[in-house]
Amino acid sequence: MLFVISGKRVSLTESKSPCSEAEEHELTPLDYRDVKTLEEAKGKIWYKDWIAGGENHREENCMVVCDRKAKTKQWVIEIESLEQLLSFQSKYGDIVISDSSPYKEASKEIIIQGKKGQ
Amino acid sequence: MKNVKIDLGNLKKESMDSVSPMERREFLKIGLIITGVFAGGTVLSAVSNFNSVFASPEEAAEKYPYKPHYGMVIRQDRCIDCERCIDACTLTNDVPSYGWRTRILEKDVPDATGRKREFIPVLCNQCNNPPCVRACPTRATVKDEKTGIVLMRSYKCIGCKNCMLACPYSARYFNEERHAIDKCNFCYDTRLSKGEKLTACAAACPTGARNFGDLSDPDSDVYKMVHQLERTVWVLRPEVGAKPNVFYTKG
Amino acid sequence: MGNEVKQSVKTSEIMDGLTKSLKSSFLVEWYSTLVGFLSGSKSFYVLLGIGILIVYAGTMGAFDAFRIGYRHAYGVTRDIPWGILISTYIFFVVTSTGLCIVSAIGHVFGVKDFMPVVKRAVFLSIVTITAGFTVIFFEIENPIRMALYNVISPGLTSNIWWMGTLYGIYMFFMIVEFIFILLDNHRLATYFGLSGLIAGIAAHSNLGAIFGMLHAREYWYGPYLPVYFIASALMSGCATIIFFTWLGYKITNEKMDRPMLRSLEAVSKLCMLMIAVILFLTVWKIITGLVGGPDKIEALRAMMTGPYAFNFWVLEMLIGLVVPFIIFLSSKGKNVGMSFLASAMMVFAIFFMRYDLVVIGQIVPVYHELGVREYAGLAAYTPTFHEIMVVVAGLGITATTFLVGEKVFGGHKSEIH
Repeated sequence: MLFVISGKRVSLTESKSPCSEAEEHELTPLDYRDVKTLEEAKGKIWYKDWIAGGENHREENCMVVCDRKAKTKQWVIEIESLEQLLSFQSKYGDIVISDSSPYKEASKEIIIQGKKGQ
Repeated sequence: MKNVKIDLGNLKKESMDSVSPMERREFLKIGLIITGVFAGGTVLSAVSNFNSVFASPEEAAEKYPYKPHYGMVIRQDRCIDCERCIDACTLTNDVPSYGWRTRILEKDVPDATGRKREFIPVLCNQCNNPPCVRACPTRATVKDEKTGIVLMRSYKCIGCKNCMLACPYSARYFNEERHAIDKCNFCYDTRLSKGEKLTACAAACPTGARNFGDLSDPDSDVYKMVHQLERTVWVLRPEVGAKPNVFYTKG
Repeated sequence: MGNEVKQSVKTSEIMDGLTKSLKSSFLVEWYSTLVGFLSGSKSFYVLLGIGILIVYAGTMGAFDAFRIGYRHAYGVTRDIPWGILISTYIFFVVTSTGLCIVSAIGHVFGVKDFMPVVKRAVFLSIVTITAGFTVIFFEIENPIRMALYNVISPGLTSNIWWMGTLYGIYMFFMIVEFIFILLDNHRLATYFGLSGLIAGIAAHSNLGAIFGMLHAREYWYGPYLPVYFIASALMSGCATIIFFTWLGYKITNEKMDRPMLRSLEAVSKLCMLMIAVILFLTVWKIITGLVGGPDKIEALRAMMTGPYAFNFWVLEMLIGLVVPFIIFLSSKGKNVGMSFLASAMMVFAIFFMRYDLVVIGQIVPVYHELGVREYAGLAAYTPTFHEIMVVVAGLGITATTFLVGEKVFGGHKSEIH
């Protein structure tokens, strides 16, 4: 399973990896909008931009969603098993597993709490 | 209270007159000034005269930094509120009806014998340490290097009104016609620079309440009035520390 | 101990009840229609049109005031030369500085939780400083001279000079920072963000010092105000970013993702802390003032039991500080709707906070202590129609530019992670 990985602080002067295992991937952000149907979305101010900025528009969980064309670069890590996760935690100290910004490829984020994760 | 008889003839006056000039002189030598007399003249109230008589401690050595160092001494009890000073000022300096450069304030003094009211003329105090000059963002108001008068450079005034708030004496107002803050400048442009010796208000005063002159000249009347030993001299709002050059006295 | 637990349970129960009853009532229907209105294509442009009309009307009112002369148009007097326009200017620049600080926590110091609000905060800090400058343009009697003599005849001892100059520099830095954020050059954006932060804080403490250095005005004089202004700015910035982020999401209908919720939670907590700081400062301001000189006591009496008592107790204390604090405390910043409610109350009340700060400092005349008849009472000030129109123009500019910003910059979606 692919996790977005981050620390509590972000370096803005360079794209620094939060941990040695992380790789930088291009991810596809999902653009959820809080209306129930595509029909309803048509009357909205954001509709044109939303249509133009994404593909595969669909209804999902009482919301509409599309895959954004503009990809974002994110540091990610592949974790396949609980053991791997636990050994990762042992190496980097406290971690928080949380929902990430929604991506097609990943939906969870590991936030390294301590200094070890820069 | 009915039975108490007061022997008015023999009552000793509890006023400043009961202190002899000699006594005052002695006090002044040690830097104190007598401000009141209590208990039949036996208890004197004295304060340091350092700050009230001199514009700042540095000038205590009878030195005033400007030449001429213009100042005004107001003999408060002589003011009768005839307002000729205000009329003269208005006429001389084109003061609009909505503003004033000088004004006479009225105070109820119920305790004073024979008098119910006091009149207190106020105007710009041409402070030695002027808060308005410090506050001005464009140096539109300046302390004249020669005379110590606080002057306006109207063309530079942006009308932020910070100086109006900085002034401890409410001496400033915004003049629409000049598009600038206006204030008393001891008639610098209208009279003094033309060779006149007095401000319009001082010249118009019929009772000698307003006395104008050069404080740096020991022979001038104002110098003598400030440095006399007979009477208390004070300034308005000394706590602000602006070191004003308008002095008040009585008698 | 047991009592305390009970108490907190009770409070959260009340909040839950409140939320539930809000959800079930017709109010919610009305409210969700209103919220739906924000994102509607037609209604958005209607709103935008109304915003532009408001700006137009306000500006016309301001130019009319300019034409007939500020002395006739405005309610300010010799005794109270600074009125609602100065307080509105302060309201806007305090908000701008606060937004700058909030954005800098993320974008300069790299705190991840503040990152999602950065872009909107930087944009709004530019918007609010522009609104502030617009208001001050119609307050200053000779704005053209200001532009000229600020440069060729600087009064270096004047806090107004420093404030004006530094805010000009600040605005420049913030605009450049925003451009670099848009260009995705975060390295340069960070440097300009830091420069903007330094200029903004220096400018803002000078704004406090304008009042704090008036030794003729006892109510303001002292080092209190520069400090208070910075703390107050951060409080305003937090409230404003919560307020506008929520509205922005209602326009774009975007789902708030977890990082954004976390961000608003962090901002809410900071906001709560700053409310506590401001309450603390206010309490000590009053207590120290009550043993001060008669002028200060007179002003405080007017504030607490006199003509400004409603403003102080109801608007400033209750709506501005205490109720929002309770809302933040009980919802722990996790309920976005509640945070929005609290922040909306704060933004509304902070406007009056600035008004009271400016006006109450002037109501005691300088000759009050002299005991003369002319200055026996307190000076009074009421804003006039023209002054209110200038305020409306400032608020209109903020609202309109916010709407345009949400549309043009697509909800200020942040690409920084």
